[in-house]
Amino acid sequence: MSRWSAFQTSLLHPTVRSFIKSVLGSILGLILGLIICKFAGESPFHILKILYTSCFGSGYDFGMTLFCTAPLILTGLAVAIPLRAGLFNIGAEGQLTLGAIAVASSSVVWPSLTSHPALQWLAIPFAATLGFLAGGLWGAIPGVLKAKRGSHEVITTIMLNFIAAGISAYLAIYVLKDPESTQAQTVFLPEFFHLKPFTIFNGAPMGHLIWITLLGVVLFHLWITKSAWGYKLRAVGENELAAETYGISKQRSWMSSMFIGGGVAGLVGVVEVLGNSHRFKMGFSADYGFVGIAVALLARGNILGILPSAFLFGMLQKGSGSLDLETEKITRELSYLIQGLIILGVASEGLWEILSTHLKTRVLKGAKRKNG
Amino acid sequence: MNAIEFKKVSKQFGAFFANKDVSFAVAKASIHGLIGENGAGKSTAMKVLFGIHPPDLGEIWVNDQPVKIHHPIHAMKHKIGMVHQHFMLAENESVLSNIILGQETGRFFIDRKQAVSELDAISKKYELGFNKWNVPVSALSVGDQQKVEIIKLLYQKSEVLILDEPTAALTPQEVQALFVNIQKLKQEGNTIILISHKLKEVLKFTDSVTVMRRGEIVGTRKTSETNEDELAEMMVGRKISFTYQGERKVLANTSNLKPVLEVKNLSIAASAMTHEPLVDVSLALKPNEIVGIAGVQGNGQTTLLRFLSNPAAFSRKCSGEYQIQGKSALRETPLSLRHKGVGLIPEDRIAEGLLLHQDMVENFLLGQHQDERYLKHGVLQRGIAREQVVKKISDFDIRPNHPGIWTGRMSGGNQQKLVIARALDPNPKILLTAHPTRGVDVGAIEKIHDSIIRERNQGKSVLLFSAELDELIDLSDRILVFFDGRIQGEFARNEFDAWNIGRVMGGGQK
Amino acid sequence: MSKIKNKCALFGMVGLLTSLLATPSWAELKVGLVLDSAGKDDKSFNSTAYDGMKRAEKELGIVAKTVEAPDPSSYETLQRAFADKKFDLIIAIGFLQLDAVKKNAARYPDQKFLLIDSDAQMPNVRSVMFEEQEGSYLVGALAAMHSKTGKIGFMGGMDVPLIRRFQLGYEAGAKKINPKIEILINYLGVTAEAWSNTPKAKELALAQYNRGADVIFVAAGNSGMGVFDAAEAQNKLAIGVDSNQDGIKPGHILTSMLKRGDEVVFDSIKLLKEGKLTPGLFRYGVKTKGVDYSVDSFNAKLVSADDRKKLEELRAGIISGKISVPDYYVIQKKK
Repeated sequence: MSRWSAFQTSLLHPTVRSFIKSVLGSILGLILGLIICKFAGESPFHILKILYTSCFGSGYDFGMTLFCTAPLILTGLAVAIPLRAGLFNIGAEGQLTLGAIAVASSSVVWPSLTSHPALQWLAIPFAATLGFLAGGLWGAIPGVLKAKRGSHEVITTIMLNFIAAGISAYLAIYVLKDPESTQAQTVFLPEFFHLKPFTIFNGAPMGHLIWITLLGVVLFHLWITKSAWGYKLRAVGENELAAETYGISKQRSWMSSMFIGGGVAGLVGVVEVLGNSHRFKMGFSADYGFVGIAVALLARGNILGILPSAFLFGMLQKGSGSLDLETEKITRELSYLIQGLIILGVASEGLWEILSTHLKTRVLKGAKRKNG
Repeated sequence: MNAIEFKKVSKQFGAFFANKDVSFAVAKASIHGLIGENGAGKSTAMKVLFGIHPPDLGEIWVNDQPVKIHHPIHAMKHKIGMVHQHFMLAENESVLSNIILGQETGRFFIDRKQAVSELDAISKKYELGFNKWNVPVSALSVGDQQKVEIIKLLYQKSEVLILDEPTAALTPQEVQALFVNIQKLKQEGNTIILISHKLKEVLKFTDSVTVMRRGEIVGTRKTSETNEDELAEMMVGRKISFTYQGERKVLANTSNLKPVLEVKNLSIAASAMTHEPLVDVSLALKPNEIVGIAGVQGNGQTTLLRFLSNPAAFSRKCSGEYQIQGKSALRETPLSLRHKGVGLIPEDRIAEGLLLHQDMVENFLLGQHQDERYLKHGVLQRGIAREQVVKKISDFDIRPNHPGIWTGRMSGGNQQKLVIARALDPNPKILLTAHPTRGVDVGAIEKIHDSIIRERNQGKSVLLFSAELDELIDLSDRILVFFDGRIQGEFARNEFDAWNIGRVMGGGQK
Repeated sequence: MSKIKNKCALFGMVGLLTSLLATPSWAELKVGLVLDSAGKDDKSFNSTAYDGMKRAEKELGIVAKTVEAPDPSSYETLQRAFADKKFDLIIAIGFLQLDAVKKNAARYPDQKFLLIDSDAQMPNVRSVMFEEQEGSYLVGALAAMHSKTGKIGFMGGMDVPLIRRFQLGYEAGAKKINPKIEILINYLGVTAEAWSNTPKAKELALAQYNRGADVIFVAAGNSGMGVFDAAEAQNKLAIGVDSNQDGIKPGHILTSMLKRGDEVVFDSIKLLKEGKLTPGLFRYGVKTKGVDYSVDSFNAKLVSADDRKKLEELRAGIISGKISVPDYYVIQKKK
């Protein structure tokens, strides 16, 4: 019994609990998805094998999976950080779009970089700062509107997504346009802006950036959990009235969390523009900003939890093309379906309550029968 | 015949038994008291009965038949109804809408006329004298809101009524009226289960009483065969006293001391921030003094407390003067006030005082997150804070005694102890205290009162807001009574008298 | 331990067997088609390419595999997967795939690629571009011929250079017939939603009709359905795009500006089979009927023999060079 109660106490820990819920939810979603595959006439094991190969099959595959994962880590953070302050950031898509076009514009913004080779080591940090600021300021707008005017952030971020798309399209077509191309894309950035991919990834555009991203997640985790600033965000997110009563400004927490969240979303521009296409292309994002919401929800707002969560969604994104390619009947839509089912599985709180009550009653009755 | 019987009911949360082998019976057409300290499991037992928490083990019998109640709907089917401590009413809806809410199922159209005539009949039958069916709930007094809750149960044809701490927010006059009504309900054959921590009320109004402690039943007594001391001992497990017995130390020459906190001609208009205006309020708080603030809820006390604890938020919305230690404090924020030695115990610990999904340590840091003891180089020192919390847990006897527990899982009394421990942690000179013992059990009340008097005896100043007249009378050196945003009357300690103060609270003259 | 070894061996065997079974006989040609993220049901360019592929599979007896890219980052991966599987030809649809084709063409120099709608300039890529402005010129002329009010409309999807190219050709063609004609222009949006925003297209089309336009040319993917609805409701005319859309609202669709992706896909596969597929840039204009206006049973009553005669004269003029049709790509580069 004591072992059981120790186990239960550890289960009680909120982080452990939500971790278990997320894992069970994902597994449930995956199983449901596979059952649907079975009905569609594909062996579930075959599907799993394709997903596995698509992710780990070769250096290139793994690199591409990481390339799909990195933006999702960033947008996951962009959603999770404001979420800790009680805001639901639906605007990561717009923030990353503006971040990306800012990164792509860096050679135009600071032309002397090209003419002075001595300054060129600054190119990448400069571009990254520009991306962070663009995304951050775009994210700060709904934060400020919420703080000063009480506008609901879900509405404003959604609307700002469209405005960001409009601005980026205008810039890409009329202002920063690549004269050599007939497409809506900006000028090709000079060589010294390019991030070098690892050779083991055999062509997949992912290099040291993945370490920096991982490190960034750990730093954000420490910031949220250990610093006074992070504490204030969490207090506001949990109970804004209590936070205010004890002298924490909810306005400041909202604005700063949206700025930082938006800035992190803007860094997707670094992954895509500096790492991959070396220019801004309209429509480059695979809805990273929206999948980021799913990533943050699966991680239940836990910053470290974003890593496995983003990897899972990155894997599904990478795998969706392979499923289409390797099977006769399954299309890319299936992986969208699995993503949706996972969210459903995680979100169905009530289900877990019922399950745990049921389990507990059975165990207790079992224990009682043994004892008496 | 027993209306309700618990047979070896257990309910576990994690490793913690909220109810363990709980067995007791409630006779039909009786008033049965259920008492115990906070966290003793009485609320859990009632939630089990009402179907909010299905029992893990054991059985519940209704009218001598075993039943399964796994959802409030099942409870309603067995004619069990509950009035929660915090009323479950939609404030902006009319009384009628609130009462028929949930009863419209299965019918496409709601026959409001018939509902009103049924309600009039109920009001008449039980002599409730209530007929404001079309008034929005927010316009009713607390006492009337409670009547609405009871009428709602009667309209649902409930025969067993659970009342959870029904007198917590009522004036002495309203309490009296409530119990007259309950007697009438009993005469008409209803069974009432009264959850309370006020022994006097329980002794006066119930037929029998069951005492719980730490999730278990201590015993059931016929009310006529027991007394306050016995019940208190059963509840707490030791002998306790009911009025403050300790020494009230008087420092020399307090009359010459300058006030540490002073408000002059403060007026605040009603606005979106506050619905309770203040009109020309002046008061002074000296060292070694407890000033009680009395008044029916909604007469300006809330605004005063919010202003005193966060004047900067009212910067352009108030007129008058506010001084701390002789210096203007109109621009102070909660953090700067804390720095100047002002401690705060807010009105509503759940809404304003706690992060329910965080552990005790995180909660202990609220408001202290910039205290240099707990913040070094921008990093919160959770380890140091945790040691402090462990110390406070033993000082204030907080249960469960584990700092890692979510405060949302703690009982009201223990939550309150944590809030007080946090307020006293920086050793403030002035303590703004609101409802320090609201929903707190006898054993804990004694400890909380102890700590407040101790602060006073050390030369500190306490402004005590409370809805419990007994508490104000017990602790205060002076009492100021608020009515309609003004100070309606002031009572010195030798003038204290509950009925007199109650009259001034209702707008009468001293 | 030995158990695990056995298991490994078993898995190895299974893997070997499945891969053997999955490999079709060596004699058949294998062609892989990568559609862009709009997918095969875009009722537009991807759809026509998919139709061409289906036809080739049936008539030429090739092994055809089509995939729809789920997102822009997967173009490269999917092309690579086909290359690794040693497909004989990889067809990439849409200018969005340009960079991916360039990369993969360099990585797999022996692999044959067909890129439609953009120019890869690689030795192993056959690039096909359509002269959309020429086809638009013809339908613009036809629109002007059928306008009684002297007002016609143009509805673009997303405001991108490609659609500007349609617009410019259309305007020039209309003005050739009626120099005073007024042309109302609307674009549906700045996000990918512009290609599928049917309600907005309908609203804007109704607005254009109310302002006096009686023919609207819509180049907006799926959004076109909204314009056709509006044409039917107002009893006016609309012009479809990419595939033959005349049958969607018979009597209200004057013609469709065809972009024969199906022909190009089919022809290229045929050339591949005959061993005649060559790399380089190929432009399909009105001369080769890679872009064209449609005439079928649905619109035969609308487009008279006279109209067709005039249009054929214009076609001849374009081919001979007597008529120069403005090309947005060229104009833009000059800027």
